[in-house]
Amino acid sequence: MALRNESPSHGGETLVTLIKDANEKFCGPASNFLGLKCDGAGSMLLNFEDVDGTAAATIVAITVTDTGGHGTEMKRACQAIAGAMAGYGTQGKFVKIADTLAGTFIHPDILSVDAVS
Amino acid sequence: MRQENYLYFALAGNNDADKDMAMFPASTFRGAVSMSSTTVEFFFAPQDGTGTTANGVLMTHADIASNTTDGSSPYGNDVHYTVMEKFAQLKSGNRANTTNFTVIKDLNDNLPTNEGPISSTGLTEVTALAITIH
Repeated sequence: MALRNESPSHGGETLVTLIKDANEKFCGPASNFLGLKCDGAGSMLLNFEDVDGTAAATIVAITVTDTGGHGTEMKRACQAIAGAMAGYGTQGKFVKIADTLAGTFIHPDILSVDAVS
Repeated sequence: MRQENYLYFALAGNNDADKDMAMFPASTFRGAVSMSSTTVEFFFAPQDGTGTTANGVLMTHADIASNTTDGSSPYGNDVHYTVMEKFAQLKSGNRANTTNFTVIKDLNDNLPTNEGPISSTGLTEVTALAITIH
């Protein structure tokens, strides 16, 4: 049986996690999310307030499906990310949006985490 | 706690080039300004985290002077106001048991049908977008 990829955290805020590999991971409050953009075919950049407090952003690059045209897969990924940021209606969730290391993703059109910088 | 609403914008480019698409948390909205008789720009806190130069989405619509059918405005059809008002409704639109993913405008064609926000093209008044992210 597959394990659920989220569990209650100790605070009232949703925390989201993206994992590239053993050395590159991000975890932060959903309220630190600054937005995302398309960065090219099948590529999206998610921006979060920088965790070290500097006036910059922590940027997570992810790959999404890009086969059907019309931008639909990227739109589906965005909807899934919006739902994840809300903790699926439960406050204090710890949500793993994407984990390339384990091969688990909140949506089938999210394929990998490519960089955390 | 009121949940965040996420606002989606996409150009007619199949989301395959830089800034073809952007999604902003509604709470990062800073304001909207009419830029010309056919454009309104909606500004958001910058995604680069600097907090300085805002990101913007410039929306093109019909000329405010091109339609006076409603007769209620000295500025023709006042589509500036219409776009701003509809944006405000969508921005604040999320409620319990509704989606928090809100399409403000998606200019891509051939979207799937009957799939809620995925199928939505957003504001009918908007005919073109330009997304500026620094």
